[in-house]
Amino acid sequence: MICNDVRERLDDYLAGALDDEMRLAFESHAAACPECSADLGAANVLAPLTAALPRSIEPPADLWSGIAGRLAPRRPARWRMAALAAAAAILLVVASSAATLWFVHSRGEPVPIANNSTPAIEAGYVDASAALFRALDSERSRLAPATVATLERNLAVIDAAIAESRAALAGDPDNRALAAILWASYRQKVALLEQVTRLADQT
Amino acid sequence: MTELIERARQGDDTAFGALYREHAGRIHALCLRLEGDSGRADELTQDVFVRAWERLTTFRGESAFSTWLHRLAVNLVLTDRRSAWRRARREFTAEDPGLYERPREAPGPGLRLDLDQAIAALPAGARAVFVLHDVEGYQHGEIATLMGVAEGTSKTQLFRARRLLRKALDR
Repeated sequence: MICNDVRERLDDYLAGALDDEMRLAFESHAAACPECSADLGAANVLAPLTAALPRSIEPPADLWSGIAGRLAPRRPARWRMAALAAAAAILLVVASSAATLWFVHSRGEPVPIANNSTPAIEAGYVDASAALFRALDSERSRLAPATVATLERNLAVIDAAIAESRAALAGDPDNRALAAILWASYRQKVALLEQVTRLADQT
Repeated sequence: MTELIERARQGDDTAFGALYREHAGRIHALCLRLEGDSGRADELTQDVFVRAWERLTTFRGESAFSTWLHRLAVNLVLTDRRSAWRRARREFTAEDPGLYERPREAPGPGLRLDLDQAIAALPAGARAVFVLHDVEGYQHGEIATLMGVAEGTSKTQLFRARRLLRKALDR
């Protein structure tokens, strides 16, 4: 064993974690090497003193006033909720307009529903409902458990309708009635989330 | 997550004041030992709690609040020290490269025990490694990452710190 090995293993030696062979080699080297012996001695002397150090040293009494003066007011949760709800409402208007435009344009001539505008319309509804859902999720604790349970049941029904319409549209992409049902389900979901978000904001 | 933390997360500074009173001693002791200067430790303790207030919304309760706060304090103090070391290097390299790493002549007020006084008098790098490893229980790998040094450097600094402390206590 050389000095570097002793340094490498000193903490394990102190913790009693070396096997017998390694411990004997360690002790044999430390006994013959003044440098390593000094390191071992220092660690042995310091270990109990370090363990006895107080873990807590109270600061001066007036420290808190300096901190309190620097705490920026945190924007209340209901403002964050309102901002998110407003963002979601804008997304909803954009999505609804896009859907209306699609219906107007598609009335005159047959336009496949799975054209370029369809993903954008759907993305608008998905974004609107996701934003509202995030806002609502952060404030879930404000709502009564019964309200949360009702919301979750209704959302599950709407999500099932959305999934069903999307699957049907995938098999029949030119069917405008199916598309209308899909957009109506999205509108229903966003309206429900908006309603419950407002409710959470008022409690 | 305790009710106090939840209220502080919502912006209740009274609740945050209660959290401060609960944890200030532990954070102040850490800052005092890492810095070795009571005036600077007071400033850093304040900075730690202001930073904690700013970051509290990111605390998810995955670890204990005391662990989260302790880690935040270590990061803040070491970042501050790295800036100080950089400043010291710029100021002293040309004239005296070892000046910023020399042991201090005398520790600042606020440290009562012999060992704490000896720790305060250590050179900054050796002091940080000793406090993190021997007092706070960090591993060399973690210390190396936190301080931006090689693991071998952390080990070398620890042996240096222990020898200097032994010498100081034997006086």
